[in-house]
Amino acid sequence: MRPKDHRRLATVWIVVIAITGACWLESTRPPSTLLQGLLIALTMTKAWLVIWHFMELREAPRWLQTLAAGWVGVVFVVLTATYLR
Amino acid sequence: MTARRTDATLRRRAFAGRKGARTAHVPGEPELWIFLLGDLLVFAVFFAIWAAAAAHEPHVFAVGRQDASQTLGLINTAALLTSSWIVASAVLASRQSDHARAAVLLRRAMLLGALFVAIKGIEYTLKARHGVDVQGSAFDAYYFVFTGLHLGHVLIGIAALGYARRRCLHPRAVLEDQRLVEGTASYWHVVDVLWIVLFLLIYLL
Repeated sequence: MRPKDHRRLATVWIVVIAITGACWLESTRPPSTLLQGLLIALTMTKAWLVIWHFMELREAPRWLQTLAAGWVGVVFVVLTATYLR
Repeated sequence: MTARRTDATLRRRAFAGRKGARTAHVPGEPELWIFLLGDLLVFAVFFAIWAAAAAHEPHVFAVGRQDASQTLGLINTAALLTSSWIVASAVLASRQSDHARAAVLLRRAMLLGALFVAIKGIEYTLKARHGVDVQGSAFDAYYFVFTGLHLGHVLIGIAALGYARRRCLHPRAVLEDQRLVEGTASYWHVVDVLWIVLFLLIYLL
């Protein structure tokens, strides 16, 4: 494994773990509407980081990248539209 | 095609961007992605159903969220995220023909998957002791159905990781083994992504 790849994967892991911990810290009380929107955005960011880096879709054909991005986008819109209305 | 040339081909595909040309690579067998994308679509519908139910009965879902163990949810999420990192590292090790290291990493990922299953078992047991089951509120019903389906995915994923590990320990053909490891990894990452959203819906919102 090239050191550069190792560093990239480790960095992604640190970021998604940090996001998870920060979201968990806010879970002790019912979230406000603004916080709900932030939690949804952070969750889909984590999902995208896993898809792009761990799943290696950064090197995948455009059609696969588009479908994956579409999935993330649709889930984000559906959850945001439902929880924040 | 000789094994050495096949190995070089895999490296060219893996390290895209060399000489300014982008070499696109589908991780694993392309046909597997029909299943993976279908799975993502089905769970997207589940997420929409959960969100609609939560919007319809906000108090019920607020109570359900309060009763859920955020700490166990956190541990499970950290376990799957870490296992995804490890599996991604195993794919790179396999691509470098370091099959021994890939096997070690896959075993670690399996152990984290087993931790997830154990914690889920604890959660289900705690809920059962409090008289909570699938016939309870809308939150309880969706909780058991969706997490149960996801748990099934985790169990299949652990078995698949085990098979991929076995192939790393006893390699056959370079290209075939590489695609198996990549495909298994892709499936495991989908399992992780689905749990990332479930963690949001069950424990955070």
